[in-house]
Amino acid sequence: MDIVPKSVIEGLRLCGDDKLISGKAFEIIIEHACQTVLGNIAQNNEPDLSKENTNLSVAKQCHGSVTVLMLEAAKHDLQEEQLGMILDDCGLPQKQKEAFAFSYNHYKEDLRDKLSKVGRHAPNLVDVEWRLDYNLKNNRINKVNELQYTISLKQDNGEQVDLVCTRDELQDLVGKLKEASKALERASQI
Amino acid sequence: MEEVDKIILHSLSGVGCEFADEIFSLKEMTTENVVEGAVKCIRIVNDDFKMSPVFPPGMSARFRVGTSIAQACQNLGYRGEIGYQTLLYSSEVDVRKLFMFLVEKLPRKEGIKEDTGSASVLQRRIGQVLREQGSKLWLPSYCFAPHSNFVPFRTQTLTIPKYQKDKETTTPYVHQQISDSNFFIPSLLELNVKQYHTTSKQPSSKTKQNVSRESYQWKQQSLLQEKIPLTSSFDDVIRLVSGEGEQSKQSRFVHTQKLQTVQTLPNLTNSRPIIPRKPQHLQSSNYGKDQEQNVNKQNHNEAIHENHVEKIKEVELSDEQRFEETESKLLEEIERKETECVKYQKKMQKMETSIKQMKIEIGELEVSTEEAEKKIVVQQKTCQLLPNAEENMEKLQKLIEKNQQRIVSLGKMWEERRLPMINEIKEFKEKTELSEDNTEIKLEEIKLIRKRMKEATEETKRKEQMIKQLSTELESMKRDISRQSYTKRIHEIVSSIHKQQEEIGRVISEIKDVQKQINKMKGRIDRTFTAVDEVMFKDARKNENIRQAYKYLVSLHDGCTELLRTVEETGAILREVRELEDQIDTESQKNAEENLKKIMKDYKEIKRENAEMIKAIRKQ
Repeated sequence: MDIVPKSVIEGLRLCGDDKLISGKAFEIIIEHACQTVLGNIAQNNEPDLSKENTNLSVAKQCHGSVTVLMLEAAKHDLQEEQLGMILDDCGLPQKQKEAFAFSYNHYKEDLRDKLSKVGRHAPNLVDVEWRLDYNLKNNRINKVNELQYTISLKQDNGEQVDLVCTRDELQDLVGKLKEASKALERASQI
Repeated sequence: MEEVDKIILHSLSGVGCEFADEIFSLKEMTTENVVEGAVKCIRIVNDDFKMSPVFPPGMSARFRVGTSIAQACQNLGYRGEIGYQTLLYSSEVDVRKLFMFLVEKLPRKEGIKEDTGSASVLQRRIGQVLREQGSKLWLPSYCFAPHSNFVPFRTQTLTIPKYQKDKETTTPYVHQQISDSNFFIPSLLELNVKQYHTTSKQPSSKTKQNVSRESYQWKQQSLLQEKIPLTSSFDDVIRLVSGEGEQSKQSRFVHTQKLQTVQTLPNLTNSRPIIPRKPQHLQSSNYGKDQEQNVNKQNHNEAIHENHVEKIKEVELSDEQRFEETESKLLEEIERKETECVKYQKKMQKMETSIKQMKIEIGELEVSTEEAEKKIVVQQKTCQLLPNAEENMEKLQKLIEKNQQRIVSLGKMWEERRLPMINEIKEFKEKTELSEDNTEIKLEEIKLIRKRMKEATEETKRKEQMIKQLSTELESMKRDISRQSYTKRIHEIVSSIHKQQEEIGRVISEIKDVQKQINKMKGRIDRTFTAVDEVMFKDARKNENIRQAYKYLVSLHDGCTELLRTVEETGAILREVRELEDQIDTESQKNAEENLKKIMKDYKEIKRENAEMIKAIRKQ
């Protein structure tokens, strides 16, 4: 698994050095990184490292690297062993590794949820309302006698799509939908 | 027969016949279905057989299709009776026989090759996800938590602050570099991809394969020609390339790096100048609003302007003059000051260099004074020794001799000590070399083992995935055909056959018993007749009545044998009748007569079509 650039790995390698950054500080940084990605922390907030004996610039680099790795790992849906391998490459000691893995497992679903909200998304179809009209006549033709379906598709963003069609067109639509669902089924059987 | 039909229909749907999913027995198959199924099966068995599975409407074409299918079936080794009429006017039995034969010929699925290409792995993964999603229970939308708003993919350039020894970085934390918290995740993703791309000089082979080579090369070229800095953000690149420049807001592209490589931008020209990056204060999202406000202000100003044109003109004129004067003055002053500043700076530099030189000179002088002081001390001592020179000379010589002796003895002792030390050093050196070698070897081993470990874990991961997939496949298979039920059914059938055999055996033995009894009776009758015959024949000569009785006896005997023979004959005829009836049944099941009629009709049709064609040809 090769998902993060060398610069990130180097950043994490610094975290393995106890002289530069203590284990406790590392944990604080991980927690802070996760919370910032999830948007639970105000932007000007900094990790509280006043009690720890830590080089501030190391903490900054470490924070950046941890954030990137956390996000990438969640994006690729890595299992714990795969993540462990990457952390091994960074040469993290056991305790730091465990702390990272624990946070990853804890926040993975939230992170993936957050990631899924990035970008655009077609609205989902939520409900359908329909009406069948019988068109008797109009000002030009005395005898029309046609069926007319009015269908409104409701979307989850509150908007709706209205369409009017004849019986044949509706049948065509239903056929197309069936085709689509069959295609999906076939794709799932590979 | 239901099971057979099910198996046949299942395998037909596996071959790709969609109608097979909708019907439940072979009875429901139409002629078109039969032809389609047969053609698809034969196509799979025999690659050379190329025929459309769609049945044509014209009679002669139908005949041709039917006969060629029948021919193909016979070529495959079908022994039953088959002609075009079997397919066109199909009886259930014939169709079943045909399809049983064809399905048996279909290749088994066991030998499917395992495909491990990345594309098929991806496809399988997609399939798996779809299966998972498909098996989920449907819930109405109000059962879910309402979707929070989606965040557009807008980015901003980030830099991870770097730690350097003895130097404090001024860059803030990553999350503090962002103007809007919504930009955070996209920007991080972009940062990662960018760094990944630049650090690994060869772009990863996977993306390269997916993107067409031309577009990739084009991208590289355009990058070079345009000299877009690799450190610029995705948005900047898009803005540069699309030429929208300052007017555009931050782009809202959803896709990440892929789009960057795939996108074709036809209006791009090589000579397009590089547009400078937007200043920071314009990048904020409310840029549009600001502009509007500015415009409003301007409008307002203009309105006022018109009202007080003349007044303002006067004021402006005097103001402008004054401003220009002061401005020119100030500019001159600034220039003067600047030149002065430069002068002073040069002076400062000169002074600094001279200070450095002076310092160096001072150091040199100090060294020379120390040396001189030492010399003075030695000379003072010699001066003190001068008064009684000879005594002192002797003393000094003795001292020198002593010292020489001491030096020699010390030298000897040193040699004695030195040798073992040197040996020891050598030993230690050898040892360290050995251990270094060892550590190197061990390091390499560790690396190798790491690599293997990775490979193994990946392998296990892959295998586990495969197991999962195969097990799900197995489950889905079980639903279609449950082997157990079939074997059970077969066992039942076998046992019923056994029972029937026993029954048949019992009947046969009964028949044999009856025959034996009949034979016995016959024998007894024969014997009694001969005995009666002898007795009566003797008495017949003497007595007229007995003679009459004898005659009756003989005629009775003859009548009885006749009767017996006729009974046997009727039995034989009855059996024959039954056999014939069976035969008639089987023949009538084939409804040959009807088929013949149909065939006759077809023949006439074909003749008619041919005649029409000939007519058409003649007309031409």
